[in-house]
Amino acid sequence: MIQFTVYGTYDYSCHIREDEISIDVESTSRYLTYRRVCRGESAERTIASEKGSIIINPVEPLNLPKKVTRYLEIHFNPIFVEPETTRQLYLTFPVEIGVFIRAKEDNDLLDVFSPVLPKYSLYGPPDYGRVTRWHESSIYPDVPKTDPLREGVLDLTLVNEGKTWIEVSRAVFVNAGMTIWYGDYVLMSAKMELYSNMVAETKILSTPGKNGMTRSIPAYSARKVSVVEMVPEKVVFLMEFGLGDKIADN
Amino acid sequence: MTRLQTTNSTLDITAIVANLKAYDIIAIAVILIIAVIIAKICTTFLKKKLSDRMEKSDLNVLNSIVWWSIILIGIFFASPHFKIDLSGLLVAGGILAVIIGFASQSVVSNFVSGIFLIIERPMKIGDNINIGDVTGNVEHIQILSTIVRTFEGIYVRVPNEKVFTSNIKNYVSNVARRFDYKIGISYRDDADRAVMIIRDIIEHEPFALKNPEPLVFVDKLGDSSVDLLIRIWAPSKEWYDLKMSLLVKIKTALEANGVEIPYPQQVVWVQQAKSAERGRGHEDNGR
Repeated sequence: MIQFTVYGTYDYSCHIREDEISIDVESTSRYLTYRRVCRGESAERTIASEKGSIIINPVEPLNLPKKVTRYLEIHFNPIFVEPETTRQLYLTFPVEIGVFIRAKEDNDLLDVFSPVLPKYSLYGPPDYGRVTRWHESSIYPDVPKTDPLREGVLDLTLVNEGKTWIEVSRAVFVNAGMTIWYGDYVLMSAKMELYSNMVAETKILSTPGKNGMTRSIPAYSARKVSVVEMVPEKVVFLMEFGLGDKIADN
Repeated sequence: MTRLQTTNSTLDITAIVANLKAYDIIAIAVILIIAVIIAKICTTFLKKKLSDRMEKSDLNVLNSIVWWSIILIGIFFASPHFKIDLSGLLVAGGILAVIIGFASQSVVSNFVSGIFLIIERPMKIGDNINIGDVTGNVEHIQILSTIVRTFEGIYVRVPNEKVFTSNIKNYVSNVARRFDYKIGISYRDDADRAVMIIRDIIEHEPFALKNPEPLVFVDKLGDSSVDLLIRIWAPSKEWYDLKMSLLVKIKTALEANGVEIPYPQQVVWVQQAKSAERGRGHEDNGR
């Protein structure tokens, strides 16, 4: 399996050039200087450390331009799901690139950036709804080819538990430690249990990626949020405002 | 049975203690211990349930109220064992209550309003609100008053009674809100093209929400311009920043694409010039 060039672990002197991204860590007499340029935007950090490593991996796409939500919404062409069946399909999801600094067994998030322009939306009505990071995807029967710096592959299992056909064209997931894997592509697994045309339950799975894939450090846990270790399967999101373009007003 | 007399609301403590029997002392102790245990259980329960929903200071006040209410109920249940004639106390207490009631009418009103505000929660700390003539960010919601920091950085204390009885506008209570722009373009310019340019700018703004869909349309054929109305939804926490930054981007994009945003203008017909033209016309006809 080909390890994608930007993602991986580096020592304190690294220079990465890829497409429209450049990352440099340079050592001066007392400090390290981290510089990044992406889409014309630059960031610089000063690091006081002697020995450690820089880890670059895809993170959940909920940090840019600033953190306003925990919800990811993927919109796709409507798919009709037969009653009492389980179907697997592939979607894409946006990724952000997280740069972590690691020393003495501790990680911290140094920088997050993305060549993808983020877009936000609202799932549900303005009073009770959720602001979501919005992404438009096609539906794929197999793992699609993606640019790992921009998009990941979402392995989505649709379960129609009802006795009627259900039309789905959107999936909303809550970020509670999204488990993202990376190798020659970026992968995340999720499950969506459909109860009716208006209600479904979604959850991110921590299913291990394909052989040779590496598990990403999530930006969520690196920020040292109170919940130290979360099990994604335990955190479900109830989509109660509809599964299609028509949103319930409530 | 000896009855203790209360004179002018003054109790003879020594006499009370002297008349207590061992059974009464044990009963009083048991009742008060039970009251303390119940109060402890209730306050611990409130701490667990409300600590993430209430300000710590308010929670402490509420816990104190609950604690002392339970202890007072315990004392009430234990009072028969003190063998006190409470009728005198009740009369004195009633008069005292009336006096205190009149004296502390506004304090009680603010207190009760504070309790209802904590229960109803029309706003929370950090919210951008308007109460009457005060607009700003909520700094604290206390049991008697609400502290607002205006946008000029001024500290304003609003009594809770006023907060409770006023119309409260909470600009960030809903997760998303809409804002509008009205932009006039010249009659010479293509309105459809201007709409497309504006839509493109909005599409590239992360916090201009995809859903509800932004609207850009010709709203009015004005005196000096074709007026476009732009309606955009944004996350409540971000709407003001977006509103401030987006208008200049729209203006720049329209100008870069040759769309004119006209000044108010009025066509003035000068009668003298018209008469002169008519006069010239007559001369030409004469020739």
